[in-house]
Amino acid sequence: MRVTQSIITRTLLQSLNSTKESLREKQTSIATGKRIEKPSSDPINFSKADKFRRKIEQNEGFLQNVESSLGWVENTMSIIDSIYEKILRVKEIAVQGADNTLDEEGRRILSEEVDSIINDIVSLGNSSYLGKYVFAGTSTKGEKPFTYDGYSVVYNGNGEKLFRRVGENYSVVINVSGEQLRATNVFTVLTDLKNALDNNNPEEVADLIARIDQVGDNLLNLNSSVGSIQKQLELIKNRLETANMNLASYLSSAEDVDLAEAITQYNVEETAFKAALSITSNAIQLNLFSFLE
Amino acid sequence: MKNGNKHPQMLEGIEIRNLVTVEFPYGLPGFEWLKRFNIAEVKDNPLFSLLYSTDEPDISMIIMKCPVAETSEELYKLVRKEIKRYFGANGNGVDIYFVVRLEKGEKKLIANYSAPIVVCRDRMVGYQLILERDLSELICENSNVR
Repeated sequence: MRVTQSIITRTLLQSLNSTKESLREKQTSIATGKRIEKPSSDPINFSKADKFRRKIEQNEGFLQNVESSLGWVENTMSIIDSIYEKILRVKEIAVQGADNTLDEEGRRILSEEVDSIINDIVSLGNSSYLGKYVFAGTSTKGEKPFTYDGYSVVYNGNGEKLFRRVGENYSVVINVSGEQLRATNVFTVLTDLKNALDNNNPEEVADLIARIDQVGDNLLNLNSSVGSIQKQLELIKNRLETANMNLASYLSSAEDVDLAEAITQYNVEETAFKAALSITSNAIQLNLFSFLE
Repeated sequence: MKNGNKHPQMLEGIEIRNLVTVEFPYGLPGFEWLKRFNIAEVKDNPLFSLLYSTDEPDISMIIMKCPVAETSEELYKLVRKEIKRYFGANGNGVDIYFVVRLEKGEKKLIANYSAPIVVCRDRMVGYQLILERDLSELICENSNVR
């Protein structure tokens, strides 16, 4: 077979292009600090690294859910704490109201304070977090969960649980429904106290003191159940962060290029490229005159 | 002590001082399905080792041996409760490691001080603990590393 000038030129150009490509890959590798740049460079490792990168992203998503759930739970605890503090004041009122030396006017003033506290607690029960009612069950965006007409407190939400997905096959209930808040008897006992004070009945007020204590205990129990959810979420958060740290450590050893090694290789290939360029240049410059030579 | 035959590419050309196989009954967070890992101690480098799966050797992590001497009672007190839960022992004969991530771009070494890997030397069983407290401050105090 006759080796023509065009065959030489084509072969040299092909060789030059392939050297250029290899050099470009090294440059990219050094610039990005990643060994695996595209699937074709190391398909098996790329696929594995990609799978774990997606796993990290997925965990980041779960972490965001955990963070927002923690915000929700902390907000819930803070509301229940505030209600508990109100109950401590209610107990002081009841002790004062049960005192036989207090007159009717005195009890009427105390009744007004209890009424105001009921309004405050209803307001706390209607608190929202990131635009969603905290104690409404799953109807977080409808009407206010609690309404008070001066005689009784009505719950308008539902008793459904709010789930947050915090793992591939794992969800956590993050809410306390208004039903659970109502089950502490906070509203019943307070309206009963208001009525007893309105009726100027110190014996009835005295009987309510033990029930007020019970409401306080119920609220503390409710808060401790929310505290368990908080603890659970924190554990999940730590576990997800540890998983991501482990995955990132694996990826850093799988993907991070050894700079010294890469630069050495880059220099070798750069020399080869320059040599190839020089040869090609000479080959392409062959013209009819030099051919005749 | 049974060692796996396959090694990660990363170990090519690196002289190994000691290689042990450790069972991790719960795997490691992120790699829960992998239950057996090798710990390869590198020659002339007492601090860093390579932890890699015997089943999938390319799944490897750089780990750092806890730079605090075993005499650090405070450190052991912190992990003892957890260790006791897993090993039923008082924490003696346990090696503590931390997973390390290299950030070459920023030339940073990041260690996860809140999730130590504890390995019981007698039984060659290990767990990665997830502690509520980050141990970095304690380690710095005890090892004079700042």
